[in-house]
Amino acid sequence: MNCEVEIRDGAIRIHGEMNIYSAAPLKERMIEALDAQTGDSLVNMEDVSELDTAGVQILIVAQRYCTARGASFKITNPSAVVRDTLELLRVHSLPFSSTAGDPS
Amino acid sequence: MTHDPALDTFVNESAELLSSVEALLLRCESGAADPEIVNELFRAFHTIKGSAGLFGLDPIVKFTHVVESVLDQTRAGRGPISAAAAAILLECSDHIGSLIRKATTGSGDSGALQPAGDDLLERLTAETGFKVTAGKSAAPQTPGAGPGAVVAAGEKCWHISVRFNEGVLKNGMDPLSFIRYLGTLGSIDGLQLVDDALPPLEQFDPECCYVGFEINLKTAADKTRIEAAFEFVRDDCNLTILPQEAPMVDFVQLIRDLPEADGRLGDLLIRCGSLTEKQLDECLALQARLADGGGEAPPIGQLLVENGFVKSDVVDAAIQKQSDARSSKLARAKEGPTIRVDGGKLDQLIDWIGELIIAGAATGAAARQAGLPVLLESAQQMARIVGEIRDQALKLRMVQIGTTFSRFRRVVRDVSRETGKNISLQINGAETELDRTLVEGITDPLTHLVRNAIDHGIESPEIRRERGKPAVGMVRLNAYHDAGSVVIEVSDDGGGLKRSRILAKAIERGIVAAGEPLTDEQINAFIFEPGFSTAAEVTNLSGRGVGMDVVKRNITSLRGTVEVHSEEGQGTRVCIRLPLTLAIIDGFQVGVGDSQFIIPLGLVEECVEITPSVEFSQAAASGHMSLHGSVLPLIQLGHMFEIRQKAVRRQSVVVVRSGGKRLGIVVDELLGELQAVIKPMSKLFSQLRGIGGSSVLGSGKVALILDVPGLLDHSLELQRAVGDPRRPSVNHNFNAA
Amino acid sequence: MALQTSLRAVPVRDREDNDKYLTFALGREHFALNILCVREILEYEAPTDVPMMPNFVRGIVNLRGAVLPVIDLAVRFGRAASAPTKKTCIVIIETQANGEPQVFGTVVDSVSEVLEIPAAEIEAVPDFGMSLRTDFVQGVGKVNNKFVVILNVDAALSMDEMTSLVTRTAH
Repeated sequence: MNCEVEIRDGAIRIHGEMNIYSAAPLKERMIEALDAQTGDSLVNMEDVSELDTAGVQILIVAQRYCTARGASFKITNPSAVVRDTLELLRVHSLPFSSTAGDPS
Repeated sequence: MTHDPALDTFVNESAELLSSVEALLLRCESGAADPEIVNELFRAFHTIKGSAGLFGLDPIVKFTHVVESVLDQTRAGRGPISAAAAAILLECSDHIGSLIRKATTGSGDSGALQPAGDDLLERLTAETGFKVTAGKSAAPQTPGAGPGAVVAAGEKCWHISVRFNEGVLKNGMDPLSFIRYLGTLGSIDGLQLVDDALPPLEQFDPECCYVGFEINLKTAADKTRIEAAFEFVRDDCNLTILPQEAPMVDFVQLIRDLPEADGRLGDLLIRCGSLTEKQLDECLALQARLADGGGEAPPIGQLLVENGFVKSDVVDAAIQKQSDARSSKLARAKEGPTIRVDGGKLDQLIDWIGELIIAGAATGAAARQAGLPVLLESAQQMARIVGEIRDQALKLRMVQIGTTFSRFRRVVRDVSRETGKNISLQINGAETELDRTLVEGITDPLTHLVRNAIDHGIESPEIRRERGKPAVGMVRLNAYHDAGSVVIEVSDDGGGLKRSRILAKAIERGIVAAGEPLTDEQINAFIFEPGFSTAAEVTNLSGRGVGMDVVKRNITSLRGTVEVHSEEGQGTRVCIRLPLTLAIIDGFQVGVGDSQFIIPLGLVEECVEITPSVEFSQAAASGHMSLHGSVLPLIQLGHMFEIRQKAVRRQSVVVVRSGGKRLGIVVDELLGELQAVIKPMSKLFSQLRGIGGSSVLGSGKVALILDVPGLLDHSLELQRAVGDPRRPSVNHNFNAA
Repeated sequence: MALQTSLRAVPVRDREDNDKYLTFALGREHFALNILCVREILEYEAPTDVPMMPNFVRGIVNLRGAVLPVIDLAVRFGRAASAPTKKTCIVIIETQANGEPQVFGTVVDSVSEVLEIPAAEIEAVPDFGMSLRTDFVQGVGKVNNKFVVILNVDAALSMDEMTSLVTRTAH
């Protein structure tokens, strides 16, 4: 429920819980934020307090959205929760990509 | 055991390989020393072993491994296979067949066959002098023990595949938490998130779940505990758990069951460490073989390369492996590329062509009625083309009888050994083709006839010597086409039928009265009476007197005829005549009274119009007439079938020929040629003589097809009746026999 | 093309149909058949004669490409054959013989309604007084105070028995 997306210093910043409860509004705000950016996207996840499957899905589709536009999608400053989850999913490199689960 | 099409492929393939193995070993027994034979034998056993391994059929793998090793060492030593070794190898091949049957029909534990198997292997190694080290058993490829996996005592690697349903998030479950829980059961050695189902951002519903996982888990927990980890979400996901020692075919099944493309899945399995590349190759090979065998699996190899997941030479190597297995099938006739066709589909095709012919006939009739020349010509053109298609389609159903004949080599060999006689089998006309539906039906009768020839026909070596015959007895199988029929002959150079004994027995059983004049053929034909056996002793093989009548009945049910020719002291020849096709024939339609009949066109020699005259009436009454200077037996169809005949100005005689004999059939009208689609008739009519089937005409009506050989038989009987003054005066009623 | 017109294609059955029977007439007598064995009812069309057959085999008929034998039930039951009228029908029946289904056409003089006869209303075949072989009769049903003879088709149209009769005639 509590999830904010803002653009600060040219990067997207996500605050709060990225989970099933916030997924619907979060998706809309992500689209807005990505559309507002031209070129590569940086997503700062320092303030993300929760990341579940719904949240991970949003990250994946967001990344694909950018790739389709020819832009890159990079996660910076992952919070502990984010880092744990990405490790669980065997994501070792950021830019985040679910299909590159092993270090390339 | 649930029906598994993959297993069917294995069973069929192995059956073919064992059949070729048998043929090769028989040649070795007769002294063939070609080193290529040893190579082919090795490859055949190697393929069987490999396939059995894919299915985890250990007893077969272990047994075949020894046989394969012996052959391997034989070919390394470049020596031939001795006759004694070939004999043991034949038994080994039979044993493998039994093991496969036991394993794939679930009929009990193959452990019962273990002692016999061990005994065979001992004899084999003793005879060939080759030792096989027990340790080198080719264990089936074990997936799951991935590259570099260190497995502690009690721990095992499991592959877990899970796809979550869309609603799982809304139901309050988080897939990630289940994965985390799995991690507490052991260590997750490999994990791949499967996100293929995620739609693009615009269509993406953030509250639905689109992901799945492929996981390699190392744990001491058993399957139940692993399953229990997913307990709360059991109804909201598709879960498959495979242990590391699961046979390769289970992984193939998993790949087929999962929704993603096979190539993608292969890659996922490798990346999470559950399969090595080599194991994936095995999957490819099996997958390709399944596709060939009529299964609906798409070829993995193609997809793999297209998606760039596997280097194309790896794929090539895998496909090459399975095509090697195929080419070592050892069929001697190399006819260029062939494909397997499902027999049922072919039958359906023929059925539809039959419908097309009937519909075409209706179109032709309507065109004629409409009187439009353009339409008529078009309809005729169509009929011509449909006729071509019919011929091509029927050819697809033809198989060479050689395959059936070759089976008898083994029969002859076995029976010769049992009876202690020296027999050689000669085969002629192996390339003669017949309809595949006939092949099954003819095997049993032929087997009986061949056994008869060896058991009762060929004399013992001593008697043969006394009679000045060569020591080796000869049994000959011959096949050829003759006017719309396939003729199959089984002959021997043995003692022939003792006609006096047959006649005596026939009189004794009241089949015929003493003193009745009979031709040799008619006497010979008595052996087809039920329970008739003049064999002095009943042997294991035949002579129980239940054989020949069943043989005749089998052949009659195939709409065929059988005849016996024999010379006492010299030999016997049994001649079987079968129709070339059972489906669609070219027919000649005739009318008798209000009824119509169809005569197979191929048997029609000519038609003669007859002006009614006293002479003709007399001729018809006596059952024969003179044509082109020779005697032609006549049958009045109207009388025989008790049909009220029309008063017509002219009758016609249709002269037909079958089995070297001619017959004139007297009819009222000649109605022209047509393509007749033969429809099966109810069992009710199976004993009807003179009628060979029914056909649906373009008008939708049914016409009966005449059974010419049957009519010929009948006319011969009539002639007999005419000649015998004691018989009641001849009425051509079929009932007089 | 003279296509056999189907007067009534009997629809897919459920268990409730166990109690339904098709009634029909042979001459002045009425009989009933369990609806489960009735496949179709066709307008009468003269079957193609098959020679050397006993009288109860009227011939063969083409039903959408399958050639079926046509049995004259009246003759089979020992009565005289009757001439076809506008009401004459061919009822396509499926029987069971040695575990295999067999399909026949049967000539009846007319068909009437489908009646529901619960098992409780069916009495066993009386030992005497039946003008029909008792093994051809499954039971006698009571409907509206009238008795209706329910046929045992598997016996009346027994493939084995009819075939042996055919063989005797043909030889």
